[in-house]
Parts: sequence; C-alpha cells; structure tokens
Amino acid sequence: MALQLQLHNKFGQLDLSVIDPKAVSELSDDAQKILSVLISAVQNREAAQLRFNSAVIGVREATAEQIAATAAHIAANPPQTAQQAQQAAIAAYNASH
Amino acid sequence: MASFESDPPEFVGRDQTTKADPKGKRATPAPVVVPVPSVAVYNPPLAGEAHPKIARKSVAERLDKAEANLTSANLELTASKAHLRSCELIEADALSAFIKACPAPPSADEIYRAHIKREQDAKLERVAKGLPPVEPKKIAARSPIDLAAAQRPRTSQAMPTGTPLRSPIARRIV
Repeated sequence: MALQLQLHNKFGQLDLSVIDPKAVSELSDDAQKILSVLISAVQNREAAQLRFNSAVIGVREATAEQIAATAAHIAANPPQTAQQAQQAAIAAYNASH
Repeated sequence: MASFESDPPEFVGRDQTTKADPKGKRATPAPVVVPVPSVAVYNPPLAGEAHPKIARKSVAERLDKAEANLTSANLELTASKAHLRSCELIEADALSAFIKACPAPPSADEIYRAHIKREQDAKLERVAKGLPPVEPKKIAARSPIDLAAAQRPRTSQAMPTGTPLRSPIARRIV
C-alpha cells in the first residue's frame, strides 16, 4: 500500500495543518515515531523562521535609529574643520615653544 | 564570532550528534569576539564658554546607544540565520528518514499490470455470463446508406473501416 499521507501544502512547504490524523493512524509504529521527530523538527524550523524574521525587522529598525542618531549627532557636535585643526596645531606649537 | 552559513557544519545528523567529515576541520570552537562599543565624539564647552543652547552630550549618548543596539541586532540576525539553517538541515534529514520508513509508491509496471488484470477479470466475468468478452459496438445509424458505408472497403490506410460518410466538400462554417 502506497503512502497516502499529505505533508506539503499547495506551496510545496511542509505544513502540519494538512496532516490527516486518520492517515497517521494507518502508519506503522516505527513510521509514527519518525513522523513525530519530523513534526518536532518542523516546529523548531518554524520557530527559527519567526526568530529570523524578527531579527531582520530589528536590524532595520536599529539601522534607521542609528542613521537618525548620527545625523542628530553631526548637527549637535559638528566635526572639526581643517582650519580649526590647523589653528589648534599652531596654538599647541606656540605654547610649547 | 558567530558561525556563518558558509562555514562547514561541525555536527550532522538528525540530532546533531555525529561529527562532520572531514574530521578536524575545526577542532576548537570559534573564539567569541565581543565587539568594542563605539564612542561618539562629544565636544564639551570650553572653559569660560557659555553653556550651549543645544544639547550635545545627550545626542552623543543617543548615538552610542543606537550603535550598540545595531551591533547587537546584527549579532542576533547572524545567530538566527545560522539557527534557521541548522533547523532546515535537521528537518530535511527527518523528512528523508520518514520517506525511507514509508512504503514506496507503486511503479509504472505495477500500475500497468493491475490495469491489465482488471480488464481480464471483466472479460472473464462477461464470458461466464455467456456474453462476448468485449461488448459489440453499437450502431446508431442504420439507414441503407449508413449500412452500405459501414460495409464498404477501406478507402485509405488512415481511415478505419466503418467510418461514417462525410462529404468531401469543405463546407464553410457559419
């Protein structure tokens, strides 16, 4: 008898919601044990996928905040110009000589 | 440093307990490098200078916090990507093990043999009832012209015997 258990959805992805309990009950004991391992692996993969998606969102939000903070920082604390650096060097030289 | 997707796996198998081959590719675990936090340049007011009208230090602290947050978010992204890849490998391994444990689907030869057996059983059943093995073809049109057409010899190799009459004139389809 061929396998009649449906594991994949219409997108070709492993989907636990399409598994028929009646078809599972017709499997052998060994096959049911391996299927339970597979179900656990699918659940772990789905949780890892959610974690990865939230991490991507977190990086995007952190990047936007970092860009805004950098712009505000440059506006509040502008970097030293070349003229200011030269003046500081001249002042340091005059103070030491 | 966190592992990347291109790195060779250290352990393989359904429960990640089998040492990957080649052995000794990475005998020691990768060192954990803690990124050095960046410090934004803060220009304090000079001696005798008036208090600045705009905030300077809080903006610099905000930038430090944002960069530290971005670094931790990138680390989490790298770790989650490696974790997802590992989970996908485990899932694929479990799926292949399940497919091996299940009975194989019938081959094309078995399907064809079952079809032949069904046909033979149906014929034997008809013969047991006193009927011809194959049901004779029903003739719907029984006019003299149709009977003559059914009994005429084959006019070409492509046309089977008993082909109903059809006008050779190509008619326009209205």
